[in-house]
Amino acid sequence: MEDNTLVITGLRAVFPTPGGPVAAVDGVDLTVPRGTIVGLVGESGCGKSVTALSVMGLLPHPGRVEAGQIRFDGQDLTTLSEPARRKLRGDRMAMIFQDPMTSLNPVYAVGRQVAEVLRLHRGLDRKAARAKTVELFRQVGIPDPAARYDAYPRQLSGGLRQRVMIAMAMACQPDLLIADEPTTALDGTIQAQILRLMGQLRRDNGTAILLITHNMGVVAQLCDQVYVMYAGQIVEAAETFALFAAPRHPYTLGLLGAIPSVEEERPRLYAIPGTVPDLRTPPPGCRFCPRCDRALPRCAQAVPPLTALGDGHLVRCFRAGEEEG
Amino acid sequence: MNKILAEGRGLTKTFPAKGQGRKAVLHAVTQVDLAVYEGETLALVGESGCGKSTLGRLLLGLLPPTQGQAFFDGQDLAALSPRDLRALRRQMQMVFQDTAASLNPRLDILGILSEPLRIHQLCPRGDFPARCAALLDQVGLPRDLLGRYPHELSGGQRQRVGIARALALSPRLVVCDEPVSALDVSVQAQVLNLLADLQAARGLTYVLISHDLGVVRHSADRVCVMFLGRVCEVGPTKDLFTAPRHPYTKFLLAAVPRPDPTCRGQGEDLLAGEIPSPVHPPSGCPFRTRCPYAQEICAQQVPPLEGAGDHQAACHFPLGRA
Repeated sequence: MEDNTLVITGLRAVFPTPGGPVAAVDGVDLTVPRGTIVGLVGESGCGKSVTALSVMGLLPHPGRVEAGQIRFDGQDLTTLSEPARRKLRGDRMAMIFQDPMTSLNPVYAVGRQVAEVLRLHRGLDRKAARAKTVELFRQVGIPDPAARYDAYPRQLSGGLRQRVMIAMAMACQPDLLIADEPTTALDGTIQAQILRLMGQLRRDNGTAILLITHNMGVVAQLCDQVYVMYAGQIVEAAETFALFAAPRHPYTLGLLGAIPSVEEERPRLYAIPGTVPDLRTPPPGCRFCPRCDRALPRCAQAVPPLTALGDGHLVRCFRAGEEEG
Repeated sequence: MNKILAEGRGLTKTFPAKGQGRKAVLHAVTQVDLAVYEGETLALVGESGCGKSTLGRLLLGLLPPTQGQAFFDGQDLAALSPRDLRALRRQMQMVFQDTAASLNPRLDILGILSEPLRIHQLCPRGDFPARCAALLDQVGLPRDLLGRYPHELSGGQRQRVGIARALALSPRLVVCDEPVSALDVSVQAQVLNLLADLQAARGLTYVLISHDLGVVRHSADRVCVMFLGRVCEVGPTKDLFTAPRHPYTKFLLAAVPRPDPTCRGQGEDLLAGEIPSPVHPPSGCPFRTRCPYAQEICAQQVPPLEGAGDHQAACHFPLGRA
């Protein structure tokens, strides 16, 4: 068994557009060690969801993986046939999305949709699949699980629908769960419940989780490691405590400074100036350079490499090695 | 304290509940008394369906209350003629969450910003371009956007246009309904800073509707926490965040994931259960079905909003009482 459930190297995912090809993901390296929760954070359009969909083999047409390897338990997924990948999906790797309403089929009872996964991948008969589904519902904290088996998606609240999605994803005890903004559509108190549930699943089943989010709070509370993504590239990666104790990339610093705190008053929020670059014509040097208040002349000319600062802390910035001050 | 600019007294709003029987009603807002003082930012917070957006619309007179009255500058909105109400509307404007839905896609930015000027006949047509350009300056957008259409703008730019439109009539009160929740954090910070600058420059009064407690703590002077259509707690921002009196406020605060891994597990007292249905709200205190401190009386009597000074809670057993 490999130590790492997922190892992505040099991933490049491209979408052809009338204005030329756009590399939504451009050279991403990312590792999810077995049984850990890894966060991938960034703002809209940074490529975090495209990374996830590339791993699942679900990139929407006409997008495609142009380069790179996606090794899942040692096996390169990019070389697998579509039927082989379909066999993995829902069995050894599963995904949950932000909006469970669009992921669930509205005309079937939710229990049947979960049972279908068990019948397909585990070959259970109707009765056994039903019993196992009710058991899964109980594990993910759905009250009155036997009765909820026959409920339709619209009869459930957003929090319960997301629990159904998690039950479906966990049905075959996958090695890897990809969660794309799983709590973004939920209310605060329900979000806290779902985050706790995901932590429990990892503890009880040893499932590795790749958690995609824009919320630094969610990352801080749940993840073991964090990757920060900007304009298609990883700009910083570190163990969670190290990243929050000493963020080194100006973009990460800006993101953290922009979050209004519930703990204290700040006179003014730090706002990162400008907007995200157009990926059809990315800046020639560092992609964050046009918005960076620490930029040097060379930042506009050359792309800084992802450099190790020790303790596995990686930063894509020419000035990251400089002493503070 | 400043004078009261907008006020609700006993505001109640029900809607017919679709598909739940002919007589079923959804209790969106129930018996709310609330004052908004001139120059302050009052935040309405709570989870989805708690009635915060409906309350915002009731205060503006955009929805007629089922019961109760809404006052603006001492005038009962329901008692005004349509003509007088329209004149008064100049003084109260709204900023919406979804700019894709609240900006007309078929008008360019000049058309969008001059619409309020045209309706209220504030200036001659020939002055529209100059007035609109000045509005763009105020919200930090380049003037050459006047000829563009909403779909050509980023989300942050569109929200600035929404704010500029609200400012076109020089209002006194602006109700901002989730103004930044559709925006990325870095852009959200830009818009929050802009709202603060405009308030300082023009002495605006804001009602800020938000589910994001970080945004509320940052921006609001006072906070009103709602649950299932009723006010649970209202008070100055710092008091309410540091010493909440209503159990619901406490749990809501504890549920916010802090961007700091060293304070993990502090939210151990998580709220269980789901939000009850506003079609069949619980008897007595609306929060009692989820409340760990609930006792018999909570099912029998609706707790009144009470407390010394300006910090009040609607709870039979408020926290932190000696």
